[in-house]
Amino acid sequence: MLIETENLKKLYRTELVETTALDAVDLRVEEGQFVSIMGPSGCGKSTLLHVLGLIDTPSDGKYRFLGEDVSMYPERKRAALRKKNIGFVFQSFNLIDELNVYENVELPLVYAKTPASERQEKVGAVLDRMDIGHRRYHFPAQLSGGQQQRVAVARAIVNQPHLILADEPTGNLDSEHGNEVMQILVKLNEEGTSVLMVTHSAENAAFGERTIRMLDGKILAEQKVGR
Amino acid sequence: MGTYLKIALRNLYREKRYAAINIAGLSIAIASCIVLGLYLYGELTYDRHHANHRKIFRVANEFNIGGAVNALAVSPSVLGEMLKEAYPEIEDYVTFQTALQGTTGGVMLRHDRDAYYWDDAYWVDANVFDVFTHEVLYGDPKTALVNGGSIAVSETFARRYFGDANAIGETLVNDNGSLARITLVFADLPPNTHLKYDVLYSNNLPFLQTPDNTTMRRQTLWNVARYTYLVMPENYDPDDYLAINAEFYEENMAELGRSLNGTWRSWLEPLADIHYGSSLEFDRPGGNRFYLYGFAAVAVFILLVACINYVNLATARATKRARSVGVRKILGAGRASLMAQFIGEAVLFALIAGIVGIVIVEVALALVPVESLVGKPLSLNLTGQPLVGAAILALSLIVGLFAGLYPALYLSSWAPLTALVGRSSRAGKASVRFRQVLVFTQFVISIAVIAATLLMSAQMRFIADRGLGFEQENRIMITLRGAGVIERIPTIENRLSGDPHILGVTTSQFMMGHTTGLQAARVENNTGTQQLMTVSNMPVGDDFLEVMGISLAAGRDFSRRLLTDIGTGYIVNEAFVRTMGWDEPLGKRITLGRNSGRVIGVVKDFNFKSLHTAVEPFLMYRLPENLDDVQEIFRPFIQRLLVLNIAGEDIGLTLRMLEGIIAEFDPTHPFELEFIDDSLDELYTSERQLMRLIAVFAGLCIFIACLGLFGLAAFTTEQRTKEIGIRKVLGASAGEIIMMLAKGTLVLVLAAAFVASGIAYLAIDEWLAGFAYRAPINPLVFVLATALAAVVAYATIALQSYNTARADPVDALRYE
Repeated sequence: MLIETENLKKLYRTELVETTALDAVDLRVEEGQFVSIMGPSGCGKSTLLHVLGLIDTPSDGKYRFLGEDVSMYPERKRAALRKKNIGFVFQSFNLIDELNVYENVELPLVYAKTPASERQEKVGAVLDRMDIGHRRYHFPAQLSGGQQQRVAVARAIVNQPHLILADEPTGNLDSEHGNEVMQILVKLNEEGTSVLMVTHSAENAAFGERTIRMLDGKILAEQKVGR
Repeated sequence: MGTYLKIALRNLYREKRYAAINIAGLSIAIASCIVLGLYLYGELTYDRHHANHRKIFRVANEFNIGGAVNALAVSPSVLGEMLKEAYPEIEDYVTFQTALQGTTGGVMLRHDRDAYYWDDAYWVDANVFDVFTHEVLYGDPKTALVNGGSIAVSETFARRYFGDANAIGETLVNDNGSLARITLVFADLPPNTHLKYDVLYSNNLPFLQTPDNTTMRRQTLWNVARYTYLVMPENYDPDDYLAINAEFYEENMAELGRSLNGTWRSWLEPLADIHYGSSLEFDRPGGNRFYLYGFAAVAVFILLVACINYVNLATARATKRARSVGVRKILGAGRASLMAQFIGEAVLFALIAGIVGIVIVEVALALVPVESLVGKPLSLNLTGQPLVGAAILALSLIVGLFAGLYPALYLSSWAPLTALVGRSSRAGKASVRFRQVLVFTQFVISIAVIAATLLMSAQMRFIADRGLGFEQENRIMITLRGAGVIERIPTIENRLSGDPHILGVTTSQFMMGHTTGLQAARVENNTGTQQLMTVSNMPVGDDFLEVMGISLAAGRDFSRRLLTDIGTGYIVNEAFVRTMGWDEPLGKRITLGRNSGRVIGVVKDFNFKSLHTAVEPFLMYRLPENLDDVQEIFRPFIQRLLVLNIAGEDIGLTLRMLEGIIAEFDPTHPFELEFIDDSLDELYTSERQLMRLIAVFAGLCIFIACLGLFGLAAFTTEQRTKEIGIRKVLGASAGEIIMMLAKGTLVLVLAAAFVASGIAYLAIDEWLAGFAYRAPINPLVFVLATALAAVVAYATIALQSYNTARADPVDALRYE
């Protein structure tokens, strides 16, 4: 089992207000699945993605990732798991402006302490795969939205992670480029990479094999989709 | 490392204004530290250029005659010789005796038509070049001063007479007509030498020979004449000398001491400690540790202000880096690598600032009279002194590490998600509060330094305006040399008295503000018994009191008609009367040297020394007119001051007239004239230098602080653009917007003023403790310093925010 949560909760407290972002979420995702999470704004889907992606911690409940109970892991341990196993694709791409395309894609390998020669080989391969190799020395500001997202995907997969977490990956793209990105994600999934995607778009959700609907921090329903 | 550098350079290029502000502030601060560092290094390494400096000690000594204690830098002329003979552990000794006979004029040396005065001239032993390190340009140091009549001279001296030519073998004429032959030329001594000289005479002359006879030697031990330096073994402990001192005294001085009702003791001063550690009479001008601390504090403050700027700007702009930090953390970056990146950026800024700082220093040293600011020449010689370059590099690295540490800790501390989506308001508030603390600190420093400058300036004005108890305006002194000229003073006075520009003429041996005599005197107390007292004294001519505007409190002035006044009449000051506790001072008996006389007058206290010291007991006696009993050999060297009160109009004409008249009586010596008020001004040169230095650096502090404010204001205005737009829509004027942006900072300035005032008050109070007479500390000074800082801060913020405050509201609202 890739992901298993039990009674997962996430609370946010400010000086005056306590908000329940996740409320007793039970979820199972197996390796190789493509799961879409849908719901209205503020339903907790991005929060769920963040917790599953080990970039946020649950307030209560259990979370097992690849069989390991990571619920109470400190950031250091979560970072170690994260960089080995999880790739992220964000709505606003989140490329680093002062690094060029090559350097952005190389970054996960640098943090994983991959030797320089191996890094060169892997980055080159993944840039070519994303058909963005010809822009390797360009900076994000010099790329279109679609190109930036392809770079982001390249960065997400360069370390060959078990899981890709995509938060509204086509939110800032037009339909043509959005479709392009979705096709890439499907292809990756077919090659064995698990994909967990948050989306507002039913059309995009249809690319997955499962769609989970959330409301007010809870999982309302789940639907199997044939692809 | 290469990646960090690449990224740092790219960030620098992308954020040029922010980079420029930081580099400007840091480079000015580093340049200031370089200048102050060069000065401090020079001050702290006095005399260390002598290869033997660890082995050389000066003998200091203290006489206690009947309870009157005097600690002196000069010691008996025969002391070094006797010590070396008796104690084999003393490897060598050398003595210096000043060749100056008067106390205001230097030694005159003539070559053909060129005659100049030299203040720093000594008779020395021939082995001086074995003991002290000199860069010899011409001549043989082993033999140069063996023969009497030889002189070794500085490069400046040689150049003055002979240009670039080799001066070896050239002959100059002394005041008494004797010849001095140049046998060695040495490079000018470094500025950080406690005993400076341009002329070294061989002391192998009959009148300078020390006696061989034991009895005569022991008598000579009770007179002082020379600076005595001993060369001791490596790692010698000066405390071990105390046993030598005790033994020597017992064997050679105790018996005579008992008959004089006196004792003597000596101790060793390490050569490198003399300039700052010694406070003896008849010493060379020493350093003041307070000023060293002041300069060091100024350097630290400026650096602190610049580093605070960096920290403030880096943390304020943190939101712009948040996304990058968040993404990196999500991708697996450890905190250490993020910290390394941010510290690396700070170090890069600091290294660039270091280079720019060096350029600023080179330009400043070339174009600005830095010497008048710090009191000595400074130079930056990176190729000749690689250690200086290494020190600057180290300073830049330390500045970078120090400035970059907090921003690195702060920026790398965020959790990945927090960095990506935005800080919590609580964390944001903490960051804002920390920045306020930093701005507060900057203004505490700036206001304190401004207030200190204003208070020092007030003290210097107080000194300038304070009456000294005598008149100094339009009073001049002319040095007359040679007994032949001095014996014709009555004729000179007659010639001058007829001139309407000459309001008064008198004579004196010394002048206020310069060295006076200091002697033990036997003074009659109220019970009629004589008691010993060491007293400052000055021989003066007729009408001295009138010419110098000194008021009598009792009795009378010296009278021309009463020749008995010479040698038997004394005039004392009120402090003298108070010290003796006299009920009736007139008629009291005083014996000074061989002259016994009575008090004929009491003058109101006047400051015959600088205002650093309170008025001490002082006496005046009549200058003898007859110089018949002066030995022939000394007659050419006798000096006296002709003191005149001249009219305030046509001063140039008067001075030319005086030069002409004096030249008639003395065609040999170049005319030497000085205005007494100029001469007294020199007593406060170091205070004025410190004040100018502090003023300059106060200005730099405020400038750097405002650079930071400028950057912060730019950032804050940008962040609040939407808010500004909304306020304008609701009716706020540009002025109200600017005040809204500046209000927080002005509150900080006011708060900083309280703390700064306390600090400045304490620091200046400490400095003023060095003056016997001090200006009261005016509280308005602190108000003025605060107002100045507030105006400058407001203007800086206004300058930056003006455009945004004046823009159309819609532009601001569209900004997002």
